[in-house]
Amino acid sequence: MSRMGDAERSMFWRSFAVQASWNYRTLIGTGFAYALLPVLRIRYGGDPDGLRRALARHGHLFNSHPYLVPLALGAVARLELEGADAALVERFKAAVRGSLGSLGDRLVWAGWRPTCLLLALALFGAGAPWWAAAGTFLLIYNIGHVALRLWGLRVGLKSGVHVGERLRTSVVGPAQRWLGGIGPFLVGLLIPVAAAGSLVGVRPSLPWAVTGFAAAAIGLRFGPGIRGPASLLLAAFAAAGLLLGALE
Amino acid sequence: VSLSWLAVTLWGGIVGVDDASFPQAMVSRPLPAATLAGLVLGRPLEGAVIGALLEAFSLTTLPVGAARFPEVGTAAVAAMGAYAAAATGRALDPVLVLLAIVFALAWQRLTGVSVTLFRHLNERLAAVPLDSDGVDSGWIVHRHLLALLADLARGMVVTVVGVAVGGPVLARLRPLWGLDAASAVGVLTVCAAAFAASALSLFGGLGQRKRTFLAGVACGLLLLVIVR
Repeated sequence: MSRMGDAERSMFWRSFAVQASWNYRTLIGTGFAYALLPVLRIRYGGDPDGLRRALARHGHLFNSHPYLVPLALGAVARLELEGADAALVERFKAAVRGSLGSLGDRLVWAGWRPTCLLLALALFGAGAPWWAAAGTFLLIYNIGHVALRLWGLRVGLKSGVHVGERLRTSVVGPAQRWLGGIGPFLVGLLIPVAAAGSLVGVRPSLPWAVTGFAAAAIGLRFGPGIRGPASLLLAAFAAAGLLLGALE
Repeated sequence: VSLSWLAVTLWGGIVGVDDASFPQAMVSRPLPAATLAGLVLGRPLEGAVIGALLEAFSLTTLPVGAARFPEVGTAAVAAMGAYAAAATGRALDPVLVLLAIVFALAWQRLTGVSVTLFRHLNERLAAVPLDSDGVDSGWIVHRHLLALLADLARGMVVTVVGVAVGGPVLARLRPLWGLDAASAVGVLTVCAAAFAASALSLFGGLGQRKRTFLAGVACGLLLLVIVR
């Protein structure tokens, strides 16, 4: 196996831990330097001072969606191995920082993850065994997760500074559109299942089920805005139940 | 202290690490986190129910950028641990589930604060100084992995403290319940339906996705007829 092949594999596995030292000053900077280290060791093989300087540069402020970090790592690794100027590498990192973050947030946190979770909840609500829902979620979700990291590293290594152009013509756009279609279907599927008490494991009486549909209409109207009021309502109901019992 | 409780504590640590540090395989989502905690404690169904409800409640909470957000995974493990510590019978107790959910919603705020504090600690522990023009590779590796271990310890601590606080509280409160269990089922059902529906906002809302959403509702109703 080639030394570079080993370094690529090591960089890929290290990318899973890129956020371990997340902090409010350099964000994932230290993690980025940690993940890039195998390639930097090749680049600065006989130059310990050069390696120290490169680690300091890469350890400074950087951020990205964690699953798209391999894309930046691959591109930066290529630049480093080509002997690119440090200022160019820094400009490239600054340029991709925001876009990789927002792209990953939309694609993964607001797309792939809720879609897989909705599927798992619908399965559980439909009567699948307790292990099937969690197991299906972890399996399907992580197929997409690992595939995205592998794809990102390959694209980064292949495209270098041109990753932006590659992203525009990649499967990311169609994937977002596909998730935008299947997600609402799963939300719709889950509402009757949830209103029928399937997530609680005990069937509610008809008035409660009808109230569940009405509450779903409120959820549709207000979106994430219902989180605070609904949590308070739940807490207030629990407090009322306990108070009534204490007064009896 | 039994092996099961030690295993739950360790699981809480793993869940805490998975949330952001390593490897973000999403075992830190409430559904798998609480289900596995329930399995360890001999109550997998209750774990799945608590996990599914907390999952529905958390669908729209996104870890975007440097936002401070509640840590749902360790709270789900702690809530399941608290449920198991307080439960007396073998059957699923909807009132205790309700109390565990309320506890989890409160506890995830505190665990979220622990994440913020941990990230401030990392500024001292593992951030490369701004004026630094050279760093040893050993420093990067050791500090980075030290931060990972510290996050594991943080996850274990918030889980074990959560169980230690939540278990006795739930055990003391459960006998006080003055309403019927059906009302607890009803309220949990209503909240789950509302939270599930709120997730449509992630995909553009009702205006943009009416047809596929309504097709989903129709299939959901059909599914209920078939299953029941």
